[in-house]
Order: sequence, then structure tokens, then C-alpha cells
Amino acid sequence: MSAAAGMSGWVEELAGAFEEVARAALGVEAFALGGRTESPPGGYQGAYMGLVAPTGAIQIGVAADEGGCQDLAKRLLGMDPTEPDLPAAEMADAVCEIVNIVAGGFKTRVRDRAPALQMGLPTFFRGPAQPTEHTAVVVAEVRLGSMPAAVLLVHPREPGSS
Amino acid sequence: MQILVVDDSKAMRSIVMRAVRQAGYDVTFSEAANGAEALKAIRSAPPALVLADWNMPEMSGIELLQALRAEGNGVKVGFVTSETDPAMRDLAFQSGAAFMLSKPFTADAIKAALAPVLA
Repeated sequence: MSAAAGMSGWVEELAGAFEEVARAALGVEAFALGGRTESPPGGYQGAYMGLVAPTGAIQIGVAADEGGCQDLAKRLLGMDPTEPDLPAAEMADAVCEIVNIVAGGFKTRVRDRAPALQMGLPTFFRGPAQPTEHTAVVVAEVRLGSMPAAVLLVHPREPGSS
Repeated sequence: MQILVVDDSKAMRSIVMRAVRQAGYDVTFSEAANGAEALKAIRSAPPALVLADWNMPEMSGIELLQALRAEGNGVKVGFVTSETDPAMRDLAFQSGAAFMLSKPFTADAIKAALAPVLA
């Protein structure tokens, strides 16, 4: 995996991995992939995980608004969405676990392009990832039923890109 | 019969314990948040089975398994992990893992993994 190798299609693979987890572990029946942007909607929070290879590193993320993260966490824990909200730490822990499971599926999907990716430990965040001189952010908006969410890919910029 | 569930995610420990119960096993559970905690717990009260995550802070699941085998402890260890790398799977079995169950898992998958181990 290197910046020069290009990241075309990676965020779609990430969305695909999230869809698999949403259907298999979160009980989601309707999943739709929306548009791509460079920043998620304001007010989003979620979890990131670093994936490291000898040639570089990327980060993947799953994000939604506060209610959406509560919904994701409750679904993972087998709770009804109408049950009282989880404490913030338990919600964050569950969303981190979701991105951990998504990372496994994502690794499988990109194995032919990045065979040596090593998973890190997930971290919960509030607010959007910011692109820098050296890193770009790609966001794919998704919908789980009626709930908007997003997957995020932070990757090295290709040389010469801005 | 006691099962030690080792995962840095409280949510995942809860999910694994629920799945084992739903698979029909009448067991008691203990919990640890990483391999180092698990190693201490196993030394003081060996469980019938350890269900361990792979990626954890302080001591990973594979480091836990290798530490147990290095001190001659043959407790059964199964991995419940999102790792899908074939090389890691090979390493797990070479190190003495009983099984490697991928997240997300189905009820049938956990039944199939536990049946030969807890028979």
C-alpha cells in the first residue's frame, strides 16, 4: 500500500465492509451508499482505527451523530433502539468494537492491494478528521434504514496532489 | 464449567457471553480486559475454556496463548476476533489454539466452534 498506488475504490470497499457488519451484527436490513465528500456532516462522532503496512498507514472510521451512535451501539448489544441511552463510555466502547469488526472485513476486501495491513486499536472521536498537507480524507455517506452515517478513510496524499 | 472471556471491549465480552448462553451452554463466566489480566486469572483459577480477542492493549490474545504454552499451561484457548489474515490463523493454530471464530459470528458458528471443545 502506497500513496502512489492510488486509493480509488477503497472507500467503497470500506462502505461494503460496513454494510456486511450492519446486516450481520446490527440487524440492519436496508443499507444505501450515498455520495462521497471530503468531510462528514457537522456534529458527527464515531471511531477510527489505524491500519499500518510497511509502506504506509491509513485510518478508517465509522461516524454518525449522537443519536446515530447510540443506535449503532444498541444494535450491536442487541438492545431495542427505544431503550434508554447507554452511558457515553459504553456507547463509545460499542462503536469502537463496530469499527474493529469493520476493519477485519475491510482488510479481507483489500488484501490483494495491501496484503500486510496490521490493525491497531480503535479510538473514539468527536468532530471530523481534517485533511492535511500529507493526508487526504474521503467520506462516503451511508444510510442504515433511515439513519444517516458515514465511513471515513484517511490516507496519504499522492505526490503532487493537493 | 467456567469460561474466561478476554476482550478489551466490554460490549464484545457481553456479546460473546450472551452468544454462549444462547448456544445452550450452562456455564459461568469470568472476564478480563487484556491478555495480562487473563494470564493472572488463569494462573489462579484455570477455566475450562478461554475465549480471547486477538488485538488488545498490554498483551494480545496470541501473546497470551504463547505465554500459557511457554509455562506448560494447556488450557483450551479459542479466538473470537475480527482478524482474518491467513497468516495469523496459521500462527494461532501452530501456537495451540482450539479454534478461530471471526467477528461478526452467527449463533451457528459459535455452536460449531464450542461443540468439540466443550464436549
